[in-house]
Amino acid sequence: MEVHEAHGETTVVVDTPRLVDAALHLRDELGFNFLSDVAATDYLGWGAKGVSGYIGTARGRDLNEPATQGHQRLPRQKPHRFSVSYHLLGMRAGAPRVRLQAWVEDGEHVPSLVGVWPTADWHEREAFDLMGIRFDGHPNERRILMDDDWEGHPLRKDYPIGGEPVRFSGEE
Amino acid sequence: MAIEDGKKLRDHGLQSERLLWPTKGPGVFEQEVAAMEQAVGLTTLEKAVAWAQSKSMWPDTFGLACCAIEMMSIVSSRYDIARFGMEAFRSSPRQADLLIVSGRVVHKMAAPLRQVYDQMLEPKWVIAMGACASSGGMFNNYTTLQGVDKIVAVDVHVPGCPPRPEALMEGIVRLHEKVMAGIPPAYEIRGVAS
Repeated sequence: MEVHEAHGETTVVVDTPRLVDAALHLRDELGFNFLSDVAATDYLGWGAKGVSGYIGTARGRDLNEPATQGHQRLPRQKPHRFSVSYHLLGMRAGAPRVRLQAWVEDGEHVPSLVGVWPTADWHEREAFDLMGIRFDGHPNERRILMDDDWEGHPLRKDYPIGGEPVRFSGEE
Repeated sequence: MAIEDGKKLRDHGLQSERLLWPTKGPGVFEQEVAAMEQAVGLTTLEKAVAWAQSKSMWPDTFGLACCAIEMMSIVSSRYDIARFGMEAFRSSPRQADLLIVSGRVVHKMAAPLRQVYDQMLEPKWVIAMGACASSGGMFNNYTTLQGVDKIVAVDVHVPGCPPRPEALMEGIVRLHEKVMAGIPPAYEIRGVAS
């Protein structure tokens, strides 16, 4: 477990097995009783050179290719590419905020915090739908934004934008 | 300028582009409508029915996104859709004649859109308002239906992002002209299920 502090914000990084204990400690002993957000972030290609920039490939931009979201080439897979951040707020004078963060691999399961803060229900469903992070113990783990039978997780960095090729009137 | 001194704009009637370009003859749309009118040859009774249909075509409340704001503003007193008898936006599709699809349609919303369209009674017309309803607009991605005419039969596409209230009213007026000329609703022309 580590504690970072940057830009006036405190981040507590824990391992996924101890996530529920850390959450209960933060809620009960330290009084962070309000979960304001659950953010799942994909760090694939983060900081690597030549990865972001022109949205397309050297051959042009085909919306259904994987490398069309700012990657010049498909970045190499990295361990622990996802971070799940729980943004907590203490509802008292001073309104202290803290971020509880866990780093997970692709396919690794995260214990669900629905028992600690019930509002995590829909936030974790969104993280599952758009990033593919599975939550153990979630009462209702199914897609929330995409269609129920959608394949893939759209907000991952290697998911294409999709869409149709545009035809212009007047071109042959 | 063709606007004469002393005469107000409203004295010229609703003739926006013809006012500013006095040498402009009838455009393609007007020529087609005139040709259709001659070809169809409506009887007096059909003309009366078409007149009644166009003079009180109640829209359905199908505002999805930003275009809905412009659709709401045509009910306001400045643009006043009530002078066309259309201020009665019906929430129930059973009581509505016109479906103004105003806003982007995602794939998840496509099923309810089709359901509402199916629940409307014939004759029914559809206006695809704005760029997103006509073609997907600026959202060419995995979520958005690229044009609502993939699932319903559209009579009039109104371009704009969002179209100004006057632009939407131009689309509505053109739809009225189509109805008065005897052109059947789009589902009959395209031979699709309605």
